[in-house]
Amino acid sequence: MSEEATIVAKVEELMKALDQVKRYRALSRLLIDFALIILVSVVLLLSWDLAVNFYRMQSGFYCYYSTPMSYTCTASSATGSPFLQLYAGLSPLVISAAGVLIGVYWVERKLRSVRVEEWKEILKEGFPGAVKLLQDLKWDSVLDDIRASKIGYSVYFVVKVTGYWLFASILLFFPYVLGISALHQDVNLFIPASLSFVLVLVLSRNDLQKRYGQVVSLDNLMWELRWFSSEFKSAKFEA
Amino acid sequence: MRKGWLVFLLVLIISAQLVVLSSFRDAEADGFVNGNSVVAIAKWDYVQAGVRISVTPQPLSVTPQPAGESGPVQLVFSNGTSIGINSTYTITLQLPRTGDFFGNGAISGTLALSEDQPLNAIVEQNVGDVSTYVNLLKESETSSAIPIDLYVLVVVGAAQVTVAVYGVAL
Repeated sequence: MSEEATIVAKVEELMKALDQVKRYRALSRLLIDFALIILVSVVLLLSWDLAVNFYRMQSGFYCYYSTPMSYTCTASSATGSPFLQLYAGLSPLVISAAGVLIGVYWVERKLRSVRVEEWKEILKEGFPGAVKLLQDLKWDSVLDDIRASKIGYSVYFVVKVTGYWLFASILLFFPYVLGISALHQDVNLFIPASLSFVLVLVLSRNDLQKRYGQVVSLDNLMWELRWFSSEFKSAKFEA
Repeated sequence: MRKGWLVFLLVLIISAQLVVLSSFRDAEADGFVNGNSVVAIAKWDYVQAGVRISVTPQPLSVTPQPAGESGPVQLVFSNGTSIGINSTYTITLQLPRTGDFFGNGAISGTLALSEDQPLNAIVEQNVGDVSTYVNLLKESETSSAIPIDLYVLVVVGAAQVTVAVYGVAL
């Protein structure tokens, strides 16, 4: 392989890495959208809980899960609408699941719309195209983007795991309460919360390793680019 | 930046919701009563509460006992009106918030109230002279720095009484 072809290959590699950084940068911007969606679902979840509490206060009826799926706020002798009871029973599960899933879907969809590989046409010109791409790069902004994307990626992972944890806790709560009631023991919310946290960590371990690897590679890329940018700025190319 | 403010606003809403949720309290009391009995519910004036009182007349404790008969049981409400019941009678009451108070206080006694227990209920059976007992209750409640709302129901006869109070202290 000629020296020029090697340089073109290296520049292609660099541009691919920078495309990835572009996605991560977009992700760090989308983080606030994700946080907003999760916060809205928490507000809805708490509003539902408040509504049940106020209804209980107004009606004087004790509210309880008559079955793991059916929530009722009436005396055992009276029965409310089965649909309403089912809706009330599933609400915490549905609201938290919807919050996390809509948040993840929104972020993934926005990430897919990030424009990448726009440099491919220029790189087809060979060595002159590669030099042009390097000259057009705004090095300071590239380094800033890498720094921001590193933080954004880490925070996104933490928020995502927390969201899944919330969802898994609510999901585990029902079988736990059913099982613990059968054993005539006291309900301890710490147990389903801890179990679901461990479960989420185990299930997302591959993702965790992948994200960790990506953050490390971003770190390495930043150091290499810092060195490269100072070398490139001092060198003279003739296209 | 606008989204940042929106996040801040949502966090504020969540904090307020958590404060309200943590302010809900309940109290329960039940028991078999006979003779002149008193059901009393006390709350700090800044508490709004819903009350459910269920009174089930019990078979007469007389010999020979009439087959399958219960009661009669008389209920005397705090405004002086009374009714006679022969079967389960359920009352749902709303005790409104009647004042504001900034600070904490506590009273001990039959109907203890505190910051953690802003509402309470008792079912006291066979108190003898009802008015003396109710006056004693009122006296102990007036010793408090925080104004107290007291609701009293008198049950005359043999009955099973269940009281459930659920309120919010804001």
